[in-house]
Amino acid sequence: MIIDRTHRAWFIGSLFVLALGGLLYIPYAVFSVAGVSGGSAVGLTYAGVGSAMMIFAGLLGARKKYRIWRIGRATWWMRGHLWLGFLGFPFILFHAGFHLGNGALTRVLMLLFLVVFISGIVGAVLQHFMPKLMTERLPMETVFDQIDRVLGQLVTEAQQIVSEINKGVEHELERVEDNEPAPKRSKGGVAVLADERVSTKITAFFQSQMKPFLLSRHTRGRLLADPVRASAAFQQMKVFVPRMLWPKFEDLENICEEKRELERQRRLHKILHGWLLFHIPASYALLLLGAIHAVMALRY
Amino acid sequence: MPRVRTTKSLAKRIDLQYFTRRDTFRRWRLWLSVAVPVVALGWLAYASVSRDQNIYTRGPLSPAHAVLTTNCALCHIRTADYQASVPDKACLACHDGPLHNAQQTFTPTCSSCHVEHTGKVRLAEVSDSACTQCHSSLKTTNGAPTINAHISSFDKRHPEFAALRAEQSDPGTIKLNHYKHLLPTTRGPNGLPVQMVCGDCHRPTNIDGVWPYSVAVIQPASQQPMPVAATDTQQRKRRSIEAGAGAYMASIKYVNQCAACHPLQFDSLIAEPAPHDKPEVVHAFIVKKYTEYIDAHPEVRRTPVLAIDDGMPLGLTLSVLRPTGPIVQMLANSPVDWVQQRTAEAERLLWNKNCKLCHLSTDHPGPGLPQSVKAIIPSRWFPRAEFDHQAHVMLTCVACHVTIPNSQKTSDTNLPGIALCRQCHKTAGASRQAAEGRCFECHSYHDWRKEQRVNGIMNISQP
Repeated sequence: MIIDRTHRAWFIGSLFVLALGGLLYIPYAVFSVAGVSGGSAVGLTYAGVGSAMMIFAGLLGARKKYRIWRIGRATWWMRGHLWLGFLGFPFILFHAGFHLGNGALTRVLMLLFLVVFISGIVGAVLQHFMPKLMTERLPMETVFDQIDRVLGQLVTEAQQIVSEINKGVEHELERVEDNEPAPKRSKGGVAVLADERVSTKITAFFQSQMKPFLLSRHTRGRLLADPVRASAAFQQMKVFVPRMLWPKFEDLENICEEKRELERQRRLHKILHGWLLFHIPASYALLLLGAIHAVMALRY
Repeated sequence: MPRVRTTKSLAKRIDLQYFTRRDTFRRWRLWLSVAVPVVALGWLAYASVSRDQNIYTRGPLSPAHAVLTTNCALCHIRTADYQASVPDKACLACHDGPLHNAQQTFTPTCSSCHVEHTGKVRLAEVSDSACTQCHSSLKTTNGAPTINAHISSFDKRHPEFAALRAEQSDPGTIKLNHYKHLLPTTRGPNGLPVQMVCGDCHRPTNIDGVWPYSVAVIQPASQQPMPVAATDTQQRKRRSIEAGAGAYMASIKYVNQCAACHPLQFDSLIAEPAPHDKPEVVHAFIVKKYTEYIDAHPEVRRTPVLAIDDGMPLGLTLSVLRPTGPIVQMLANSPVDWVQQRTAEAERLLWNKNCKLCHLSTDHPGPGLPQSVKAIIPSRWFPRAEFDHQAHVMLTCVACHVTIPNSQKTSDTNLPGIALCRQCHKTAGASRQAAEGRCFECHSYHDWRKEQRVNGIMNISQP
């Protein structure tokens, strides 16, 4: 979700609540007899407010699960998740007196909260520029989960193009055998080395370089992963075929470019959504352990 | 025909049912969302099975209570309801906590001041708020408080030390001129000039060794060098232990600090000086010595006793042993008479000169012995606070006692004022790159004079 002017009310409200919490914290920290303590009345109040914010933020998952429930628009819940989730952290810091805690459970809780908070901020920041970046850089973007399927289709398509090239070469061989005049050297090309070795070379190139490149997830270091080296390789292949077959090589090159783009999409997608792998599991653990912490702390 | 990709062709590449299956990310998210809380629960379950409740503590216990770490229930006493907090009786089972003041209107709970589970701290190091919750606006059960009622911290609104307030002076009854003693022309034990330093007379109690101006003669028990300062109350004793030896200066005793330069020699016939004791003891000593002497030297009875002329100012003669003015000659009729005459003259010398040099009101106009004036040399100046000289050992004496080199009157109170202390001691202490300045540094809440012995409640499992 992009944080724009539509968040103004949430922003002002959050700022006010944060300022209020901060202002109350100063006399609490200065005048409390036993120092700042999560177990004091003020400390427990901060804990209650902070926990309520955390719970609200956590309910976003449930809201997404039950989209048809008439409990407010999803965008409202998302804004609440963003702002109250952000506010929850300072309130829990007020509760803890800006300490990570010395007990094992409190330390784990603060560590989890740090993970949730930081990953949440990272996620919110990424949401601001990554989608735009992907739109600009990935004109052939597809559904992330369908990338492997698309790549399979690209292999088939490439295989078909290679067959067509081979057919074109065979046709050229037949023409040579019929003593038809050989094409003259032209700009950007060389005379066709019209023999059966050309088809073998092209097929070998497809099998050894292109197909593994298209099917592999780890393309780093491969010849075709680098657009410059890939272009050079295709230029070398073009030398052996008649000029009329050159567009086919451009298609092959284009397929390689699409593959590179899809891999780029895969990387950007991981960045765009990877933070959720930390944010969500840590949130669940935080809510669970936080509830246990509350129960035990109130007891002792 | 070059490769053409239309939106339609691109769309056709997508499996229309793809959203019904979880993608890799969603699968990982699900697994991690289950696994992480399960691992967390497993951790708590393991701790529960192994009876380790320490994971729930907010921090380790202080070193004093570290032995109780595995026994939460000893302090956390479960009440009828769910709670298991730490009531005062849990603390009082092992410690007595005497009341601060009989007139206090509010008594805080133990745990509100002594906050546990904060790691390696001294529990006595309570926050200033523990004190200022009452002392910033002090009320007492019997009306107006007798001390400053509005103290918020050492930095702010703490009054000047009581001994330095207006019209306060040194209550000492032993005359002393610090200025004269520190002059380089001061004469030492052999009549030669010496340069005295503070440490010649003032030392913390933990420093052993010979006092440079003491005498190595047998003295009455009451005059034996005192190894430690008199800790006349349990309060001081306890604080002295807490602060460590050396907190206070050793008491000033004639035999330790004065005897070498101010001998109580009363007659050249008698080698021993008079004891520094009560007049009756001194009198008995002199009579005894003269009696012993006349028994051993009966011929001395025929020698006239040299007596100081009544009209001669005592201050002009150093000693009757070296008279410089008119003298009266007396002859004794019997040994007893000789002893009486000799004793009278010796006592006259002692009471009116030697003793009077330091003691107040030892004039002896009539017959009989003079009244002994109680010697008062304050060794503690803060009636409600503590001070540790050992903690300030890095300082020169005059860094704090700045007025000493020029102090000529006994009544001079040569203590440093609160402003000087504030140069180093600030409320925030180390966080302000300063020495500790919180209340507990000098003051103690509990009145340890009223401490009662506590009978322990714990057992040790026998090996």
